[in-house]
Amino acid sequence: MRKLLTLTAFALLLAFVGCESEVTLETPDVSYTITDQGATLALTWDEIADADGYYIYADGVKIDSVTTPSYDATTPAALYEVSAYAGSDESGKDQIDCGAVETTSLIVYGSGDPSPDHPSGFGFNASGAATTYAVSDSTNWPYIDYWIHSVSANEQEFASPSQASYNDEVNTTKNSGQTDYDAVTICDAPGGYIAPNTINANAVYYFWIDPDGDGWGTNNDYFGKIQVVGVNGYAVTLKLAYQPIAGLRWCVVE
Amino acid sequence: MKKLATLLVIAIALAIIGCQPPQQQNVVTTEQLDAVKAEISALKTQVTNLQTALDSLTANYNAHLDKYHKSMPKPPSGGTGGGLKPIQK
Repeated sequence: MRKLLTLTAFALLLAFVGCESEVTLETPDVSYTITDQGATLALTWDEIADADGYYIYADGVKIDSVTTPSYDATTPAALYEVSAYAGSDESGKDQIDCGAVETTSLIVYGSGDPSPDHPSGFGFNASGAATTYAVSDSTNWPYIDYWIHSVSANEQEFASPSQASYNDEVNTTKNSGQTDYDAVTICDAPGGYIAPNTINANAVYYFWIDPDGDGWGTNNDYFGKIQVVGVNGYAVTLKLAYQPIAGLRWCVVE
Repeated sequence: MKKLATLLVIAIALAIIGCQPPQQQNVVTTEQLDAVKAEISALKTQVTNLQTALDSLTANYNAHLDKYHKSMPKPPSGGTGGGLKPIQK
């Protein structure tokens, strides 16, 4: 009788173990909004069935875990990922690409440069790459985000297109006070952005494109950074990074 | 007799000259006139169409000027200096 009971208990145990189904976690579908005047990437997603919580990754490194389906990302990065987990199981990761698009070298010339082949304007296209534009050609004017104004042959400044009526955009810059381009990961909040702004060699500038001139917003405002790689007379060599997410001030290059 | 003969010759010559039929004049037929009228009418229509197209083009050009160039001063592309009105945000 005792043997029979032991065998029954053993059989039941085996049945329970065998019947335990494998947990399959769905990958979260993450969306975002920009808050805190562009400092925060607020991530949200629907709850995942059977999940104990969610892992947050920034640039491939797990930085946090949460038990509710939202996360306010305040550490600038080029890539955020979210996965669901249950015990040791983990779902796939959904990605939010928040990296800045880099233009490694762009040469623009002060407006005082007499050569017709030396463009003074530059702007960012839909993909975030920077291009130069000749300001003498009025068909270029709608695309100009900034131009270089010559105070003299040896002093150039970033100027807004509205200041020469190329278009109505009120675009400004701010000297970050740093010279390490990679160390600049987020632009300053609105305040202290100016135009014109004297161009200093090696300095890294934040830029703020505000087409409507109506202050910070997520409609069509864009941020990024510019390093002045060199200044030689009228010629100014720039390295630029443009954040394609409207309103976000992060400028970590992907 | 000689005078008479001369007068006769002159009279004959005058008669010949006077009897010459008048020079053939350019005659416009009704068909030609109608054709010219039709051509003029067609040209009038073309002028009207051109005027309409020109009005439309002018309107488009003015709209373009209003959008992109109205009150735009000459860009300061050919020199240095000239302080810009500062912007701060």
